Amino acid sequence: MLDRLRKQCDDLLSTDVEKYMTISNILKNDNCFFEMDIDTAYKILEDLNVKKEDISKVYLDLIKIENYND
Amino acid sequence: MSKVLSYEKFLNHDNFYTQEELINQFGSPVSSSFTSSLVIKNEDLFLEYKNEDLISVSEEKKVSKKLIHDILSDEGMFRYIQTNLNNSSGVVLKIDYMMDANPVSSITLTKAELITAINQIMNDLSQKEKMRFAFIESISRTYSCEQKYNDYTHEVFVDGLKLGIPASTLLKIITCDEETFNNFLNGSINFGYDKECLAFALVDFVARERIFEKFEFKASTIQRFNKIRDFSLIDFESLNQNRSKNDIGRNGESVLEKINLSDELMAYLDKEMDKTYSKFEKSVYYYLKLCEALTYDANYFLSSSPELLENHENTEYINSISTTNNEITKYDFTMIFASILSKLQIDFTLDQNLVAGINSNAPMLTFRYGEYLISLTSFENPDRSDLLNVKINDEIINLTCINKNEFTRNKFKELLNRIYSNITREKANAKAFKESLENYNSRNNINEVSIQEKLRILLLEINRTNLKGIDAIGYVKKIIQNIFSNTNRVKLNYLCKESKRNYLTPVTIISVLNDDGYVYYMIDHTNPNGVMELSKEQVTSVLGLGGMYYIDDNRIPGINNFVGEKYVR
Repeated sequence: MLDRLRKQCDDLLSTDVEKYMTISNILKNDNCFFEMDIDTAYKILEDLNVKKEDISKVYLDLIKIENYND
Repeated sequence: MSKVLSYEKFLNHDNFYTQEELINQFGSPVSSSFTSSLVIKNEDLFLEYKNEDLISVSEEKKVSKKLIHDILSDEGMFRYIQTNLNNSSGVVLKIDYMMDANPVSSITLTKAELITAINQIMNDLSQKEKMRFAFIESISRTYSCEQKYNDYTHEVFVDGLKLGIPASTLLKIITCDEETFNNFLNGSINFGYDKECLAFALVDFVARERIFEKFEFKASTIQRFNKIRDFSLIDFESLNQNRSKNDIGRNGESVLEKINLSDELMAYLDKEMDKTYSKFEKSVYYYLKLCEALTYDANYFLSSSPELLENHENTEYINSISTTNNEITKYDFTMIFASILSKLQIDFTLDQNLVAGINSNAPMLTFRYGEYLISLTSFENPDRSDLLNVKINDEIINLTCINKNEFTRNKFKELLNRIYSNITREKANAKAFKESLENYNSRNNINEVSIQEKLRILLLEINRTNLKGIDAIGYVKKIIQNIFSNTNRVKLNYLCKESKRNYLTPVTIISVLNDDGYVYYMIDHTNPNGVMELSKEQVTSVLGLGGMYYIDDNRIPGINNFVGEKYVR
């Protein structure tokens, strides 16, 4: 899932370079969604064009314990 | 006495005292101390032996050609030499010159030095002298050494273990051909013990038995031995090192046994450690992270008052040190690091003076792992200590490898640099992540997700995790921090409940402030049903039944804090 979001971010780069460069830098951290609050996480997912009705599902997938990089 | 007399009657009595003459002149105590040496009468002859027409027998020693000729030609002197050819000290000749019953000067020669000297004047030897040399040589050859020690087992202690190694094996190491020796060095050939143990035993054997003084060996053999002895071929320098911790303090008790580092500090040190690190790599990593987290106590450094010294040597203070309460002295740092090494089961030795509270510039601690011998040098100057260097990504100077073997020192340097770069990279990545997040939050309108949505996420996550017990509570704490970090309308309390078997299991109570007041959720981390929604009355009832204990904070919003049992910890 994280790799898909990174790809999505790359595709959106040209629309707002500054915003999506910042998001891209955030997504470089494999554990980024474990290290940010839920409010910021939801906003990032919204900016990456995840559908509103899917955001909580995507978020839950991202914070699955198996995805935590030790 | 009979052994002495066997050559005495052949000595030139104008030149040398007999035992009887010594007693008559100086008394019997003097005589008994000179039974193994020739006591010379003739001062001119002694000076000639010492100073004239000299040849080198070793790097530092010279003897006169006349002495060598006299040894081989004079019957008394040759017979004297013969009596000493197999003595355990390896010394075959000792000539003393006395004044007023005291020896004022001596000339000594070992067997090896005698043979070296004779070889240099071979062309000047008479036939008789050559024959006598052949006799001396035959007793001194390598073959003779191997014969003599054929059934001998040399015993050494290596790191507390007693080893008995055949002397023949030890001699083989230095006398075998080059190919066999190289195979031994690279591990293709095994002589039954670790090569480090064999090298240690070999050096000990040669020294204790004075092998090179008693027997003649090829120059290449001696050269090979010297390279082994100076650790350049096999690094066995760490054997038998750091056997004693020196951790007994001024009150006669072990300091380290009282040290129990704070959970917060250990969590910080462990947080980003590569789990594949060996124990040794961990020790280096912990050292660097400690330098990152801790700082020199300026007050202590500047004033060094006895009260401050005692304050810092108090183990309670050391146990309270954290990333926020982080001012330390070199005593504190050394004890913290020693405590970590102890947990890693790495052998170390503390500086005796430091433990006794005496300021010194000696290394604060040394430790060893495998072939590595590591020294932690004193943090004397705050502007040049690793406490600063790690914080500014400068070169590490206080943690050094003190092995004489250059290859080992280089290996350590590479390991240190690799771990240091990893830490530096992690710091840079963490900084970049934090800055990007702050940048994003400051430039975008972040809407707060509703409490209901957050609760829904939390409860879904708790229900789906397979973690139980303490693992579950740790995980819940982690995600709750992220989900509820931006709100003060939610409070968490961690408790535990006692089962029928007097067993404690963790429970979390979440208090959520709605428009209508508080709603409570109880998460029993051992209950497959996971989460229960409770009213205020139900929470009060559950706490009032007994068997529930607060772990830390006993203030549950809206609930009387006298309800429920006391703290369990």
